[in-house]
Amino acid sequence: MKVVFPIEERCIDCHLCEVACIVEHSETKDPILAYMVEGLSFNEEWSAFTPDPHEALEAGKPKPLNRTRVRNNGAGVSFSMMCRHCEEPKCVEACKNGSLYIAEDGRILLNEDKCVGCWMCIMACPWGAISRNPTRGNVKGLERTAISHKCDLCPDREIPACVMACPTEALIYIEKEEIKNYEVRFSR
Amino acid sequence: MRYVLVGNSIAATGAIEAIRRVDKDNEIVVISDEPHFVYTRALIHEYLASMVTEDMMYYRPRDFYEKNGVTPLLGRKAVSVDFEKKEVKLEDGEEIKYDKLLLATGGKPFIPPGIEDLAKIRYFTFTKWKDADELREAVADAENIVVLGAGLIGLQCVDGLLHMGKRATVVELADTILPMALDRKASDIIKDALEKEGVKFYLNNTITKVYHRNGELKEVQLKSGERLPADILVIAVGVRPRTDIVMDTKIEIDRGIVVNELMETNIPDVYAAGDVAQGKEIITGIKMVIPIIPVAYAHGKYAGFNMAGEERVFPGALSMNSLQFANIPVISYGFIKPPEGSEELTYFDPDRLIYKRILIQNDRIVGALFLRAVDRVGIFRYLIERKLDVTSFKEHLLKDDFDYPYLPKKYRLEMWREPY
Ligand SMILES: Cc1cc2nc3c(=O)[nH]c(=O)nc-3n(C[C@H](O)[C@H](O)[C@H](O)COP(=O)(O)OP(=O)(O)OC[C@H]3O[C@@H](n4cnc5c(N)ncnc54)[C@H](O)[C@@H]3O)c2cc1C
Repeated sequence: MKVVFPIEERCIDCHLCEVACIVEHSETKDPILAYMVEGLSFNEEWSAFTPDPHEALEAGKPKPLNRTRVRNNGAGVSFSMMCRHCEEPKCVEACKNGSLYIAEDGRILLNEDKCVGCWMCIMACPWGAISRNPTRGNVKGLERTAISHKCDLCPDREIPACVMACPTEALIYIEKEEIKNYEVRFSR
Repeated sequence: MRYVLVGNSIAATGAIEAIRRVDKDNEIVVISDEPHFVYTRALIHEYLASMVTEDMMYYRPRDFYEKNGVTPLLGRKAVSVDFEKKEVKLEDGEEIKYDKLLLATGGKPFIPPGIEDLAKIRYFTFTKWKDADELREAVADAENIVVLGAGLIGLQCVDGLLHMGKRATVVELADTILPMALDRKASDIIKDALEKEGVKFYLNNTITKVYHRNGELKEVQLKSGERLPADILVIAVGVRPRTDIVMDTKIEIDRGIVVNELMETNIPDVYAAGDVAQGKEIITGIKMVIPIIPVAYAHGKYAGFNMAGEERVFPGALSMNSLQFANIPVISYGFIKPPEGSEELTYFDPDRLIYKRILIQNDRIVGALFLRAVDRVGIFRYLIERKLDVTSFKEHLLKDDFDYPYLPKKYRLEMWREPY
């Protein structure tokens, strides 16, 4: 099975992967409408403000809906990381009610109508690849109900949007087994 | 060849899914005294308050048994196991032969001794689907609800009651709430928030006697001397491994059924997993009962692989919790009480209401707790489970954006190479 793999030596911290991810999963799939009308944007703008995505929404901050995230140490190391679609997914093992599941093709997917936003998956995922989507929720009577949010490998595309958007090929779409032998050729 | 699983919950599901990865053919029989299709007990509080639908309670799609070739025997209780004849005996007299047996009987609520006249009244526990149905009916016109125990189950029950518009009083022996999952600071923050929602707490306290009229509860007597009016008493002081069906056998039981790294008990072809099992903990290597979903699933999975003949060594379980009360999410891992010789790193931002605490012992993280700032904290699970030396990046651990780029490159190379 193929997954997206980050090459940190090539990442220039441009966040275009996040933009592509947001647009691909937007209602309109149009960058201008996605950003200006749907009010989407990447995490940084709200996470600096509050750790709670609902508070960000309430304060009029953009919706934090990117499924990959550029992580950065402020000292020249950055890479974008999203769900690894693990063979033995820790998130699925921890999920309270079976909302996260392994699809027939090996992808780890979320049943968005079932998730109760208990964040057992956030606790369990060692890669930090699951975030909170405050724009949806299934628990009645809960003031701030949200659901989990994660990479689905872009079901409408042959190659995920983040990989296509990356200007420096710092995200590659690769068979899982080939990752350990992959050699970076153009490092910075 | 037949696999028999007693218990039809998280651990059993882990076992079924693992067995089927190795063995597509042989029969799997699942026995449970509960009549329900496999469901999650971790949502009964939200079910109590009708916050989730019944569909959301089911742990797997409705064709799960069919797809996995499982014969469910539901609503049927196992009463004993004959290890010589390799048979499980059911209450209705039927005997089920096994070749490989998994004991996944979970936990049962613990009822503390020393509550005078408790046997004379109807009290409630809160661990099953049925408990939620019964409690919902009973509290309909109750005014005074007392919950004994401020652990996860007790407080989730209180949370459900709050959403039904009911208030509850909580009595807890410890001097903090959620003592297994939170340190004092986090506990105080959650306690304050719950008090604002109308919950009343009596900590450092317990119930010593119940007063009733013709079996109808009227008041509870606290150790501290106070008497509280009460129509409903819920006892939620914890669960104990449910070992009854193997009680007088040669199986090794300490706190739970003791298992080795292959999830085997001391009896050939008999395995145990989940809340009933006492298996290896990952930080200390000591065998403990860790009654949480991810551990129950992992136990079941490793048991399943080994039962089906694919040897897999269980690396050990890490205690972890993800809680949410009064809109405050908290995630914690590992030790809560600082072990001897450990160093404590803390961060508190009252404006954003963020609290983080990390415990380090011998240069390794052995405990971590995050209040509100829970995004991407899973890296701490990774650091704890791999026992990685954190000395070289310790100063970054509490940063808002602490993440894999802060680790030495050597660690990342290992991380990418790992099978996952
Ligand atoms: C209210 C509540 C909230 C919880 N919330 C969380 C949470 O948020 N996060 C978390 O990680 N964990 C939570 N837990 C704990 C979690 O539910 C357990 O760790 C998990 O269910 C254990 O799974 P198990 O398969 O070992 O056993 P169980 O889920 O206990 O299931 C055992 C099954 O075996 C059956 N059984 C037992 N004996 C027999 C017999 N003799 N014959 C037939 N059948 C038998 C039982 O009836 C039961 O159906 C919660 C538990 C409760 C009660």
